[in-house]
Amino acid sequence: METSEELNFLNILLPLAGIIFLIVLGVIFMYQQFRKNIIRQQLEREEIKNQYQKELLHTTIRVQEDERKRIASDLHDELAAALSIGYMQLTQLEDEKEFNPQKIAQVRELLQTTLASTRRISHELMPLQLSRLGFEKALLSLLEKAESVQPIQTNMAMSSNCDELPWIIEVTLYRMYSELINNTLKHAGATTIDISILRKSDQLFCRYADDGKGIPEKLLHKGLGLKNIESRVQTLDGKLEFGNSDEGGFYCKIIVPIETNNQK
Amino acid sequence: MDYKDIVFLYTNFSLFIAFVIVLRNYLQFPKELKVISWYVFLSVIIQSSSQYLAFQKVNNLYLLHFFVPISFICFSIFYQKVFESFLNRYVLWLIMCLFVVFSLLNSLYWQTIETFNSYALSLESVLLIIYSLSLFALLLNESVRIEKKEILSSLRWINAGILIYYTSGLLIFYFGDLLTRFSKVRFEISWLFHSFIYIVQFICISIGLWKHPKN
Repeated sequence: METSEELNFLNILLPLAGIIFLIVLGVIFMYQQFRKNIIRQQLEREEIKNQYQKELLHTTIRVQEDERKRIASDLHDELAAALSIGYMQLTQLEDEKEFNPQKIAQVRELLQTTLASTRRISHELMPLQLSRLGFEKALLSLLEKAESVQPIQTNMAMSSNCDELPWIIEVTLYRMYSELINNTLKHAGATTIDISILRKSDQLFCRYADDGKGIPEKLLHKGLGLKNIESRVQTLDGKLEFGNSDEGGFYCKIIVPIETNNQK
Repeated sequence: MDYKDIVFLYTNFSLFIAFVIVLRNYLQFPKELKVISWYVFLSVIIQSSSQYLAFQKVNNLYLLHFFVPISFICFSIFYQKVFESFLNRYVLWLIMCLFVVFSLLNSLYWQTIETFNSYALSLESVLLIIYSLSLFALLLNESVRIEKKEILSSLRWINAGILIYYTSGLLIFYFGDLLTRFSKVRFEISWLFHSFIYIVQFICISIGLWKHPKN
């Protein structure tokens, strides 16, 4: 009797134990598969990230080199040429030993042109408007220039607490907006440009939008200008999002932390 | 009101809530929740048919032979979609096909359509317990939680409903044959418990569907 009861008990309990064992085995198998795939995905993500960082670095270096080349050529073609002509004219004046007001006027004119070139080059190196007028007015002046070049309507909204931003943020944003406006004027065929800059506690929310034809999908991640903007945002530890809006046209959103850039 | 009527009422009510949520939001659901909606539709059809047949005093056990493989297909597709990037998709498809074949053979030869298909139900429960426990284990990983963040809450509730129902149900399905041999009262108590976990399952599913990503 006891053996029969024990047998009954075993008949019920053993398969149940088997089922629980099966469940545990199944979960372990699934978990192993998950782990393998998660690690693989993480490695792939790291690889993409590294590749992207490399591309950004290359872009930064290329942009720097292009800028150096441009400055070198400006200095060589404009300043050096003008100064060597001035030098020759002054040497001639020295040899003539007679007072020649016409030649002196020529030298003065040449020096004036050289001075204007120097101003232009230095302005391109460091936007003078930014230090003279301040961030908001410098941006407004950029937009006014755009309006004078093409029939385009521009709107700008900036929150009142943006007047004491770190210099590095102001310069970087000024350059980015300059690049974006340039792109719109060159390629978009837009009729309006909207800029908004909003400061909320420790972050700056910047938006740029136009109503042009947008950016072709294939150029979305390849354009040098946009990569340049990406690398600039990265130097500020900011976040960047850009693309074509649902209504058509290009948009770009930038979020910049203010506090971390204060120490730069 | 008899306690059976109360259970009957609450079972239908919990199913009705899930059904209304599905009808209201089906088009906004992501693919995973759409599959769960099919399961809710299936449950409504089976539940109403079985009650109609019971009212007509006709044996309705054969409905369970259709319900088990189809519900397993729904849940397999659900888990296949959730595990999509973490598990070879053919693993779940293979298990699903093998289960459907087993269920068919079981209904044809071992536990015919007029009897309770406890083997198929038990196997379905074992497989779904494995899937649901695996999903909870998967959701422990932070990168997965970030990837699924929009649907995370829905997944947790639905998965909890499945785990609660099939874990508790497994014992009833496993001891199904044995229970019929005991007194009628014990049998009824066990099925009362089954109705209770069925209600819990649909409450969890309803909450999961309600918490679907709104954008």
